[in-house]
Amino acid sequence: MDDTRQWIEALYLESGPQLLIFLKQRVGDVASAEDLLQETFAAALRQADRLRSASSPRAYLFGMARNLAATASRKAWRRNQPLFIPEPQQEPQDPRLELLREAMTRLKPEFQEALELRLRHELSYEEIAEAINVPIGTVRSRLHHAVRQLRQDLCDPDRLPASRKEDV
Amino acid sequence: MKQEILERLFMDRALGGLTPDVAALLDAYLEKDPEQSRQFESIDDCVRLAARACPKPPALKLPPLKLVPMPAPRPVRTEFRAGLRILEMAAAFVLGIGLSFWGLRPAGTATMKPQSTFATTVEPSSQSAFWSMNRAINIRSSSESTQSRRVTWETLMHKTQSMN
Repeated sequence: MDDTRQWIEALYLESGPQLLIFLKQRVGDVASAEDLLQETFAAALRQADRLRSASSPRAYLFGMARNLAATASRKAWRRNQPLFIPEPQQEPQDPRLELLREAMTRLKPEFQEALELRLRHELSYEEIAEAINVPIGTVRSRLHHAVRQLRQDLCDPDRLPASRKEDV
Repeated sequence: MKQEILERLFMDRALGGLTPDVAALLDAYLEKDPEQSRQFESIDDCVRLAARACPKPPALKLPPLKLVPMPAPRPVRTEFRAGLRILEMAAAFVLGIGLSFWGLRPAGTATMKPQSTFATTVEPSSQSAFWSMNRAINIRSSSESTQSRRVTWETLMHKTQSMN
């Protein structure tokens, strides 16, 4: 039992910061994200056996955090909030970057999610599959669809809404 | 190699989804084919731009972990399961009884249509049935007739007495 607690605490120190960022992005504010992080690890302690048998404990924790965040969002009636919330821009304005940000918000939620887990949280394909509980082929396919659509939007800005085209 | 397959490989390469061996093989292939190399550059550029569009936000301060002690297994759950099991058995029992009654009922009582030849081919059930109004009346009348015989029956002793 003590071993399990120590192992969970080690996982918390290792994956906690990434999970906190992930949760903050999902629920919007830091306080809710911290609560959900605690819930995630409390649930991890209860399901220690499953966590141990997971191919990637980090991915399993991401999956648990994702489910808890989804439940919290449902409770808060934030269902229609886009998964991808653009961060405040700190680098100089780049028209292509703006265009791409706009295109990313218009991706299907499942494509956004896969892309975000890969690019922002640097999960491998296998880890994404474990986290969102889909086959690895589905992850690959979603990422391909996302990249293909982004490329099309970059090459053909006419696909974007009129308001964005004027900006570009 | 088909362009579609190549495109998928390029996307996996740009997203970092290929094993080092496969990535090295693909790089070697691209060095020999400038046309495909340009195609890959375009995809890679798009992915790098997408990575810039979703940068890692600044690290947040990690709060101390407060792990609550493991909750004891709830007995309610097992009681509920036991109750459910009893309910299942009761439902199966009731269903079994109902089905056996349904199966054992006299054939055709509910579904057989009255036939015109019924009166000529089948004996009136009133005579043979275990219980019927006619049978009750018959028994009553027969018992009454027995009773009347008793009243009128005279023993030899009674006869001699009357003769005397």
